[in-house]
Amino acid sequence: MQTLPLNSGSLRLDKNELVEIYDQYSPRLYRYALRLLGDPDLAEECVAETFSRFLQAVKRGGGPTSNLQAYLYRVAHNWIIDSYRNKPALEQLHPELADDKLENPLVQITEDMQRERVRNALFHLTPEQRQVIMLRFYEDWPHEDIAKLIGKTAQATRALQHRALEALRRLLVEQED
Amino acid sequence: MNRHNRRDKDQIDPRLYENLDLLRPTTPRNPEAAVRGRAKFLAELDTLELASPERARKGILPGWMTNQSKSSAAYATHRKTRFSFSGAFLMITLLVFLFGGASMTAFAAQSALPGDVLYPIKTSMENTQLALSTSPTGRANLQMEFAQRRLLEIASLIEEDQFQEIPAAADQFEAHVRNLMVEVEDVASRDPEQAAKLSAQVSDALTRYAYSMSRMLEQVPEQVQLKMMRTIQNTWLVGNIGEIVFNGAIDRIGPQAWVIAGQAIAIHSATEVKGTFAIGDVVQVRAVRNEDGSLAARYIERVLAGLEEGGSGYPVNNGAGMSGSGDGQDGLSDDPDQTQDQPNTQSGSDGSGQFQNQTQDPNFQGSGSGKDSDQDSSPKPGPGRDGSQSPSDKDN
Repeated sequence: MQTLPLNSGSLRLDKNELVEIYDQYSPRLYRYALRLLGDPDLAEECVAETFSRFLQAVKRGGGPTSNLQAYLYRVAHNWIIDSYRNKPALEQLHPELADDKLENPLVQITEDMQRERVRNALFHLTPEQRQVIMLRFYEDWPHEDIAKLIGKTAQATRALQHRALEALRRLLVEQED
Repeated sequence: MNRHNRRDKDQIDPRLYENLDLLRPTTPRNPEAAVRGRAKFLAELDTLELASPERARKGILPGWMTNQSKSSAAYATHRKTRFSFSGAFLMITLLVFLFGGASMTAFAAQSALPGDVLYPIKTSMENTQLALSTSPTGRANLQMEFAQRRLLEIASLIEEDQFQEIPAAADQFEAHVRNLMVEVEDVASRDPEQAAKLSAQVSDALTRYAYSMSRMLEQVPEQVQLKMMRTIQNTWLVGNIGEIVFNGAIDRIGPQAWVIAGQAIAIHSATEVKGTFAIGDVVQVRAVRNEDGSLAARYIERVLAGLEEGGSGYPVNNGAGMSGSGDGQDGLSDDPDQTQDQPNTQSGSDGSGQFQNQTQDPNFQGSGSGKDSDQDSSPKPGPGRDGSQSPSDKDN
């Protein structure tokens, strides 16, 4: 999935290459952030922060020496986790989604609320489980690449996927029964 | 590859699939926002001096001074200033380097990570700050700040996959924590009140650090994990040298240690004890944690009489109004479960130095003094508990 060649040594990039990196990854990171955050402004902020951190790293002479894509997604995910901590709880955003109200047929669950509910469930996962789901389900990454990103074996990421799906099923599907 | 992917997804509960699919379509990105974001990126790019990225890694001298030019053609369209080696310009740049370069270097060093060439400068700047500080409190605050910096560096190292630098950073972090505790002890010896405040801050900070590090554990390879776990443990141990205060019921009383709220607390000659004590009493304990994690009591004060049947649990008094069915003495002799010696026989046989120390405190009712009536204040008709302190070796 690595489309830009990088030196195996320290990160040596000139500005042209950095701009290329931005153009290539910015849309993907935006969609990734938008799925998890649900807010276009926040998603833009996430992208900006991610690349800013990347630039800071490059400036220091550091930065990722191998898997650039994994690095960018990791940084983005970390930012998202931090930003999600400051979000008000789901029930505050959508009181209709409080458990006792779901029974009420008069309550209209809009699609927005449903999406929010799914997002909320995703944030109940551990960070690694969430990464596996996001990258596998929405971006079709092969297990090997995900494994490299989170620093585990492909077998472990499969196990993570299984557990994550189980958890999500409990949160999203069993509730409806 | 794709077929494999699809097979995975086919195994998903279709209702779950439906739910997750809700997030799949994303509203198109606002083109203006996208352009703005890109412009911001380009602006930030411009502020970086990428003329010689080797600078931070290989040498302090800017590339143009060492005659190394790296793909300067690529910068032709981006760079605002172009360097030429005219005499006057060299002169100016020399001056800038001599007078401004040092501070620029220092500034650049601030964001250096372990492994960077500029990192030693960052370290020496921190040491200078410490040397210039005039008070242990000031130094303590500095050590806390530096400890936190080490954590931020570790977080950055993780993001950049530079795991090999982490153990050294963790060691440095531990050093900061140790030095921090030295300063706290220093403050404690001069100004106990300020020490108490500082201790609270330090406990807070160390707790946060330990949790931060724990969260990072899952992102590092196994050997680094082991190292970091040790650092976390040491932080808890070293950090908890500050005083711990808690209330709890006495479970057991022994010559060298008591058990309060399930926690073994060592008693020693310097332990200050206030009031009379019986098992079941609620006491306030002020203790310090030793290097091996054990607790040593500095001060114990009875807060509530034990809440047993017939007891009414009000503060320190000696038997007034107690309607309990047993008094200490009777309880002691009647109790078949009693595994401890009778107090009256205890004093003579017990040669433990600890016990002797305990009787020095006038408030402390040594069992040898025969004042078992004082124990009436906490009637113990209940299960197997006696109403006196009966130090016995079994307690330890």
